[in-house]
Amino acid sequence: MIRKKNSNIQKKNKQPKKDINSFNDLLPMMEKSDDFKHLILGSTKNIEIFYYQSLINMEKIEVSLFGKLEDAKVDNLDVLENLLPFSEAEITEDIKIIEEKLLTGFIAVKFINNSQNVLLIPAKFEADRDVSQPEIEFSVLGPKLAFIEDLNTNINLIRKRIKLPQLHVKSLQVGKITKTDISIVFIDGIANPDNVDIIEQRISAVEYDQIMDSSFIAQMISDNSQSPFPQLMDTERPDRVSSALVEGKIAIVVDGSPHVLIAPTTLVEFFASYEDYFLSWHIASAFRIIRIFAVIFSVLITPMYVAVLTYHYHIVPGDLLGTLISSRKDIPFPPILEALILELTIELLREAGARLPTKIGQTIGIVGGIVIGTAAVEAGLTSNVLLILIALAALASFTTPIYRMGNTIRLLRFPFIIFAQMWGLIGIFISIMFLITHLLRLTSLGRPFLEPLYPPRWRDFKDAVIRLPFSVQGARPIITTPKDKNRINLARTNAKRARRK
Amino acid sequence: MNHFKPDISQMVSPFLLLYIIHATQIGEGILSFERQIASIAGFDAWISIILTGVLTTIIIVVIWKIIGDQQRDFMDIHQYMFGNILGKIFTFIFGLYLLTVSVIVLISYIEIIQIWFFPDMSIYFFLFVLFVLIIYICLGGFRTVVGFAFFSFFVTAFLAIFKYEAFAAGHVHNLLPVFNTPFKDIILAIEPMSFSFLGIELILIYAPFIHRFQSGLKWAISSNILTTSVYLFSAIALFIYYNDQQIQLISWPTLQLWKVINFPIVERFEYVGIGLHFIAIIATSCLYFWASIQCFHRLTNFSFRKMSIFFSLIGFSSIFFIHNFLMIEKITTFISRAGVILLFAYIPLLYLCHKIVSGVKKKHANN
Repeated sequence: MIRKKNSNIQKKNKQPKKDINSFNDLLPMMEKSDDFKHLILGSTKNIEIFYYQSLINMEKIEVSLFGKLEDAKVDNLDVLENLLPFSEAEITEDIKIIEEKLLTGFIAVKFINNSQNVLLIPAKFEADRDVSQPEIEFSVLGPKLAFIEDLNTNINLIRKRIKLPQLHVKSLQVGKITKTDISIVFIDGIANPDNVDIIEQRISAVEYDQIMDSSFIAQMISDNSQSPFPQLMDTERPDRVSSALVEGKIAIVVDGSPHVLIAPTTLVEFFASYEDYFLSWHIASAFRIIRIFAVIFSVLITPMYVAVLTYHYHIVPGDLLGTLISSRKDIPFPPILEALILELTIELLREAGARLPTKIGQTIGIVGGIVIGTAAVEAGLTSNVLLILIALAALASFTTPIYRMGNTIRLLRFPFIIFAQMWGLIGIFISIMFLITHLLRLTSLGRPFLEPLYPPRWRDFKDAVIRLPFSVQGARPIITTPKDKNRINLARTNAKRARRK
Repeated sequence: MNHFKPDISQMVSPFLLLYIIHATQIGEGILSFERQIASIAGFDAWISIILTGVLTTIIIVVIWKIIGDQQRDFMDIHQYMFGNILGKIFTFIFGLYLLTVSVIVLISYIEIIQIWFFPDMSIYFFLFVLFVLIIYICLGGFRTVVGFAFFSFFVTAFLAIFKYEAFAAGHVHNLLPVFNTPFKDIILAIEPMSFSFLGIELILIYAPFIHRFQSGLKWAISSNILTTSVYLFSAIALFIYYNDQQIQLISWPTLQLWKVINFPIVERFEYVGIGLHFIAIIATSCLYFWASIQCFHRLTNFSFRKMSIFFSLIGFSSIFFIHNFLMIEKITTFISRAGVILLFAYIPLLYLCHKIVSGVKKKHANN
């Protein structure tokens, strides 16, 4: 799609573009913006200063730069550079670097003479929020830190956990207009270099004007961009990312996005919460199984209701059928219509709740959940059995730790409902088969998405549907094809040896 | 000689042969084969199941011998032995056979769905959706087809558990005395039984898609043993549940058995069972469809995608010609007989010819 548009390069060249060769050519364009400032300082008024007021930290500059330059008697940039207390200053005449730096919060200092050399001084104004608690992937136990919108802070959060010179960061810039910084983070010696190359090649091939968030990148570089399933994990937890890096996966950090992408990934990982590793393995495994059951329940229960009550009422045992019939005896709609109305109501509630501030959102939840639900049943528009089922299904769909996957699960049931209306149980099985086939065809960085279920890799089951204790987690997952296959030397670890000496 | 070599991203590990072969063998047959073998060999027919299992295992070994170390497929072997034109004709006939099997498996299962679920269902749109599904699976490549077969394996394994009801309610002395029927009848029952073992002929098509094919023999044989034991278990369960007059009158004894099972939320298990078994049917049909397209694709070199759409249209239009129960029954009998001949006559013959031809060619090469 977007990343295959390289053939259009010739077309682009046809556009007439005025060449910008020197700093003086650049100035007229920049001066049109009102926040671009141009000052002349120095005792002989020979020093020009250029900067964007909105990008720089004025407090810092006023004292240490303007104060010193006010009466300075220099006419050489090198002397000036040594005079000023900035460590990252540089002198250049490369117009591309000057333009880029000016736009990221540098100040350009220049002498009024014919020299094209410009001294660039860092004075970046940081307007990022503080590191705070995770809001989507909240956990009761364990660290409570989440990524923020700044690239360097995010990489700092990862590096704090992995103190290793082998942790490499590859920086790229994507987006024709936004020029967003993107970093590919991986551990050299563990991550498979092929994976790093694939990601680097795909990201640098992205042709789009704006990259506002990591989800832009996720949609553009995933193997099948037509699929409703996310093929790259996005998370806001630094511990999850660090742990994935140690397993040999690769993280993609995008500037301006509090979500970091991890690749390659598999379907079962989307149902694993990072809190699973903080609990003992029996409890964690039980929770994972509950989550997977919740997903199956959430997708299938409404279609089942429609199928059974439309076609196969013989399947239901007599006693249960009595309950169903008595709850439905006054309903004027067929089951399909009843189910669709309630499903849409729940989706409306969720959508309204997500758009509103927290306090109003709660009110909406109460109004919607209790008032509308009870009223609909009492008015005889829906049966209370279906109301219970649909509310449970909605609840179950929110147990998925990764929000993006939860959305997919919630929308997945609509085709199922339609198939259930057409061919009853057989229709549900047909849609299950379509779903399985779709999942079988998906890949993440060319690796099968359903692994370890298919292709069956029994070794990777140690951390998939269930999570086995750390003492058997000796090997890294096969899915990442790591260069270093073993986490630890299992032969040397014997936890019980230290007991009772 | 230049052999066909598939892309490495489409190859699967030899261990998966266990699932592929089992999934192709278990189709609609498991719902009704007990009636067919019991009508010939009575309640001693379980001996024929074991005999058929042994025979098919021998055929699997023969297939492994034919394919040899070079991992050739059927097309290569045919051309090597019969020359270009005759070899292509044979492959074409084989492809047609595979396509017919894939369509007839679907249509005969739709018949069951019509009888149990929707007597007045419009079959055209239903079959259309099924062919869309099959194309969707097949265009994913061999890995997807195998993946689907892999999941269907667990479905059939799960369904096999529910035969327990027969042991709970049946009479074991139905089976006694053993060897009550003449030995000739037991031998004769091998023929209808081998319909249910059809599917191993597909190995000839997908052999190049298996990594380290030669090491897969043990998996193929264990798969065949597994199938034999599933059939044996199923047959014994039904033989002790029904008496031998009753079983002749029931078209699908397994479905009748499922009727008895009930759970607190499912009273008529056969509805769930038919739905679940449908997954196994699609897997079988898909493997056959994929193999037939692979045959034609290798013959003509048209793109796999176009071929599969074209042949699924042909498969779909076949529904306009097959419109009653008797016709389905006739075609099924014919195609199964063709399959048995292919399995027990053509493949051993091919092996003998292959031995002779390669011997002669080797001699020529030495001279």
